Amino acid sequence: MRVAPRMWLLALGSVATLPLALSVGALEVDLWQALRQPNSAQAMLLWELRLPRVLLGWVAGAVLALAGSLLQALFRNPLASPYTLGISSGAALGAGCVLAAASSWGGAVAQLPLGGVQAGALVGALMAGLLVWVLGRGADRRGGGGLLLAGVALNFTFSSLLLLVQVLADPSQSLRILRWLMGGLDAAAWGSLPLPVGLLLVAAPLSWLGARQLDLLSLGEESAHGRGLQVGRLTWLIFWVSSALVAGLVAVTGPIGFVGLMAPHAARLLLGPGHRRLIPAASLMGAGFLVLCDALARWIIAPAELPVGVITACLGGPLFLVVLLRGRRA
Amino acid sequence: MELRATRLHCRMGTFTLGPLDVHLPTGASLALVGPNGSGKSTLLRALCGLLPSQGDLWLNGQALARMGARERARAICLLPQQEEGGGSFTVEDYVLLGRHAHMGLLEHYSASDRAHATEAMERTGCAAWRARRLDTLSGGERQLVRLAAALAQEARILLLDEPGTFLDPGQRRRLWRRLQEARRDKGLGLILVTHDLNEALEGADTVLALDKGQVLRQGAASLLLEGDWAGRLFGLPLQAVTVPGRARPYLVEASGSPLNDGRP
Repeated sequence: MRVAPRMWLLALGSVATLPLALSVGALEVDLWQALRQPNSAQAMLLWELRLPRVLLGWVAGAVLALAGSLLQALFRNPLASPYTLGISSGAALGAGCVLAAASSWGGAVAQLPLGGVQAGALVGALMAGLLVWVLGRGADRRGGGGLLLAGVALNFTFSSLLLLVQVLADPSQSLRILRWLMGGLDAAAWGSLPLPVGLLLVAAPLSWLGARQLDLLSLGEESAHGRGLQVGRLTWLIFWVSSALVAGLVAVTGPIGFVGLMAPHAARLLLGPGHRRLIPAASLMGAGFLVLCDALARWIIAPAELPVGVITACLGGPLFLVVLLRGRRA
Repeated sequence: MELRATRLHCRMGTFTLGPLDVHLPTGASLALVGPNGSGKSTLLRALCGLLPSQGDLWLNGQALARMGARERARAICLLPQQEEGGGSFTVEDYVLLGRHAHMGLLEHYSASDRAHATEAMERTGCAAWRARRLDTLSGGERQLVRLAAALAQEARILLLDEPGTFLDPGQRRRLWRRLQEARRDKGLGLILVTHDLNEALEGADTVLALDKGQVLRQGAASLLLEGDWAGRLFGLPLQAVTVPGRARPYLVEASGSPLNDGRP
């Protein structure tokens, strides 16, 4: 099949997951009925709970896939994911500290505003970003190699500090931290949408317009430089754009794994390595995939639900293998 | 385009290159020779601004350090020995990337960019593989594609780091011929690192021999035939022989003399 039809099919498939996911859950919603009777319980469920959650899932999947595509281009490493650089573990540490400290604030635990955790995550992510940037640049002035090393090293450091926080926190808070670390869309409300949507609306067009620069970067730093690319400036831009994407999203949903690693691969196998197609294709795939995974997470042990990160990893691992093996055979 | 470097000096860890002077007149070719580790590739990288260096580097009287990235790429282009990525691009998409320096930041490829890419592919003989992925080509074919991308870039000076490595004698010959054709038709300046002294004799106007980061000899390519310095540089006794029907003498290993590799 030619490229353009594939892209349209992908877009259609990605958007088609939305109505499907809207009707699935602990309570099935008849979309038609809910639309016709705006005051019914079904309509309430649809507008206040289901819709923001499904939309957040779609946007989150797109953001993760976009960040993954950018970082894989920067590091020319197919194993790079939105979580490689330690930004998300910085966010997790920040969120963990707020959650742990909340217990010492006494009775306010249950009423701890969501905003507090989010702010903690954003501050943690920002600190992590600055640290990775400063240390990584020290190791390697122009290229991304130093950033990668610093990111991976700090990732471990933040994770172990978070373990320390968990051990010291009281058990119930420790459990909440663990739950946050699994990532999920269950806290979705209309209020959680503006940040990720805003980031996506800025970063996706920017990445698409810079597709040729990303292509050049994927050839290697020397070749990119030889062809007239300002490697240092582009590295700076990609690092901070992807860090902002990851920080903004992880603060809202927690770290949801695998989407950002897998979607760029699948898109590359389907449409080739050119970022002009890869950027939209990976984003659409990530978006649709996460919406489906979340629908499954709500349906599989309904009325309870699984953290969506469990589903993305369980489905994503084998799917990833199938995609890779098929790609190799082709 | 003329390239002139004066007192070029660059330090990488314990290795120091220069200070040395390089001059490449418009449309001329210069061969860099020397043993492994003598600083040939370092010099090539310094000449295109890829390595931080001291000293002056001028292209047509304009300082390289003051040029923008794309302006620099329109003037000078380095073909490194190997490339890290890009294997999954098709030949055509890869060659088109060479047009970056001629395009606006947000522009997409125009008909003229595609025409330039096609011309470069036809010139290097790789137009027939335009839809194939780079990683399905042989080493020699890939080298021709990389040359096509460099030609599509229309830089006035090409820096080639051992372009003939990994190639069989036939491929090496074809690549060499395409290079000379491009040089003749487009007035390209060439600086190339080569281990084949006969290639340097045949294809280069001047030669610069490096040893431990310093210039050992510099001058016309025929300098290689004078005295036994070239042989001593490589620890291999060399002798110039004339082949009937060939204008230039060839350098071959002298018969009967021992290899000077420091062992008794």
